[in-house]
Amino acid sequence: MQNISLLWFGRLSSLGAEVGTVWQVEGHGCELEALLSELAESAPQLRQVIESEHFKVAINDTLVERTAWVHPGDRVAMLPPVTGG
Amino acid sequence: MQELARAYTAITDKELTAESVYQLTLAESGAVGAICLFSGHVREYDHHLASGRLTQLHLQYYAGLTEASLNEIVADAHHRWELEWVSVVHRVGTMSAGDTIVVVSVSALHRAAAFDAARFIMDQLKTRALLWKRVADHDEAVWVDVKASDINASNSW
Repeated sequence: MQNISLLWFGRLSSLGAEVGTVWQVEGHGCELEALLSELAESAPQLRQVIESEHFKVAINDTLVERTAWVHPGDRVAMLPPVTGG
Repeated sequence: MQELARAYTAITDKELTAESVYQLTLAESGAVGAICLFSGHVREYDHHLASGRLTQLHLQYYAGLTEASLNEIVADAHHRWELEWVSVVHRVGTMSAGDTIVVVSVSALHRAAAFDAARFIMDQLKTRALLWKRVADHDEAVWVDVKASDINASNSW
């Protein structure tokens, strides 16, 4: 198993605290969708945000689709619906 | 990050004034017919808090990506209207009631484009700019949820 980093933004900063900032994936990595499912299973309080229409993810500071591949060492940012302006 | 022509966008954790953004727009605009200036402020009343009275607002951002999201919105505005200049400055970090949180300033030959583009940019900022609000009083702190009315306004364009 290899580590990836997790960054939590907005309300996920609080909800994701239990999960922490390091997560383990298989040596070859995994699809983002699979990672999100694992996270929601491990911490059910995340599920509603992760499944919401406006939830986004960035890998290594680039916004990606859920079909993106997460590689060991990646930095995965969890971005709930935004509330600026 | 997307390079922008005829525009200035910035994120700042310093005090923000509409006057400074207006002056920049004026200086960059030449002899235009219209400048539309919008400033958004931290409201004291906040229904997310049981007390209804905000004492502090914290705005979280994602360095690099938040700036890129502002640039994308401004580029869209330039595509939709013939604009001379667009300035967007968004404050982040910790603020108090009454502080200026965002300033949008748009210049164009005619007022319709300046008005419409300024409103478009504000509506898009609400749903596309990577920013997250947390409001607090002396008893609690609450992350703000996206409002259906903001999503509707953004989708209306």
